[in-house]
Amino acid sequence: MLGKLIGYEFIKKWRTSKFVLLGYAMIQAALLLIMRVFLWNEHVAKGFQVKLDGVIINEGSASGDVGAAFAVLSGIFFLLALFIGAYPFLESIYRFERDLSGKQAYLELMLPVAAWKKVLAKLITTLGSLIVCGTLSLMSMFVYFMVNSNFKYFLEIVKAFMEALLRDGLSIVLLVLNMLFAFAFFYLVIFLCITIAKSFTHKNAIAVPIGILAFVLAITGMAALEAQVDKVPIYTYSILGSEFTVSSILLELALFVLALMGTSQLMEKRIEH
Amino acid sequence: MMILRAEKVSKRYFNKVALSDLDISLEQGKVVGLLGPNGSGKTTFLKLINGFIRPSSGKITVCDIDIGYRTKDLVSFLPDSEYLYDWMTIREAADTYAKFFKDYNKVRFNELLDFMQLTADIKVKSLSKGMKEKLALALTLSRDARLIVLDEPLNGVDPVAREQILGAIVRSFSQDSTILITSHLINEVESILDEAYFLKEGRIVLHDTTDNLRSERNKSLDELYREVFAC
Repeated sequence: MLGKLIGYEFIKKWRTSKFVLLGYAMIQAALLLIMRVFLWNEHVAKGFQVKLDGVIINEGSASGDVGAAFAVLSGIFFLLALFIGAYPFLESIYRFERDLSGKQAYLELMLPVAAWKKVLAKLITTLGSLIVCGTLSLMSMFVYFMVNSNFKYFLEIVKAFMEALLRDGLSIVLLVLNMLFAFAFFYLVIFLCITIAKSFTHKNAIAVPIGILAFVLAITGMAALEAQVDKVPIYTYSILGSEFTVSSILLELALFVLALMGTSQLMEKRIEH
Repeated sequence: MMILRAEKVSKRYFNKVALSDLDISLEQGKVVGLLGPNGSGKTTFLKLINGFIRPSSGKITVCDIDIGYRTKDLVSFLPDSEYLYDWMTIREAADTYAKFFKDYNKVRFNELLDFMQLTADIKVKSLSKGMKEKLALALTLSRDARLIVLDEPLNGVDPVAREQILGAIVRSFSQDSTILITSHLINEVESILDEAYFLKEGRIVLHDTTDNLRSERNKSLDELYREVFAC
């Protein structure tokens, strides 16, 4: 049933987000085209600083050489790239709130599935959309760089990337998994705060401040706990320069399970529609 | 067999009493009406059966199982408001039911769709209010659920559509299940009801089989309704 729920959540996300993604791709492509065809010059290509493995292979030139119009369009391009990176965060909060108190909440609440599976399915699809939109955001910045640097360093960058993958592949995978878990935990805390707020009332004027207060308290409490647990690290290890302790990982896992149980219990036993 | 049992069920919102000491038992193979004016607590009771809200006191069971996500497998519910996503086509809405409800009956859904003169490729967004009501009813009745709960299925639809809806209810009724239906339109639903509960200000004020109610008082259900709920 969890697999079916994940599929259903992905369909819902795709059907509501496809126009945002398509619109984003079209606007970014149009901006790049305008910049490359009408505003690009040799100064732009020289303008980027390229640094591979700590070695600067192109110094970059003064930004004033690129022209005001090019700078403005670049600014819009990067703002949109940031927006698409943040989109899953905004969309998942909105969607979770609507699934609890929107007009389609009946359909959600009718499904004969345990609440923890519903929460987990929403969390997994949110991570999925985060990966898609994050990749899209990074890819568009990479394409921007490639197009405007006249593909001058393309081979060098691909080569450096492949070498890094071969050299630190396992560490990169572990770091990515760690980041994904951190994101999942963060989203789960937000879901928990929304359900806490909704278990008091569905009126947003009251529910939103309660949710924000719950979030601040949860983050403060967790930071205090983390600080205490870090005093007893059990074992400390490093991934690509970042240090981690086994005790904090165990704490995060325990808090994750607690947050999942709390959100599910509130959905099943407290929230009314 | 008893399909639904509600014992001493009350629901309060702060100091407002929505339902008070309700005792309702529904037997298998019956079409039962829950009748009352706006604000009498009909929808509140249906929400309790479906686990959307919880009783302040008392107990409700469906097939002897306490209300929870397991009873959602046994209850097919038609809400009184739109609940399908606008982006869905009729086929996608049916696929959602097929995916999550083990008792979904595809053959019956297609029959009901034909009967309601709806086609599977239409988007929910482009349906009129009456068509949306028909689609929601077809989805609800397409399940072989033990308890089918219909909240105001005739609200806001024209007389021809009402006939179609009542026809669909009769057509899909099985003796293995029970239908609980709320409506203001007593004249329209009277002919299909075996039993009726009259709900006033959160309390049951009258309950019997419709035959008994009619014969003992020599009045139609509609006349009785007007008598009970006259201001």
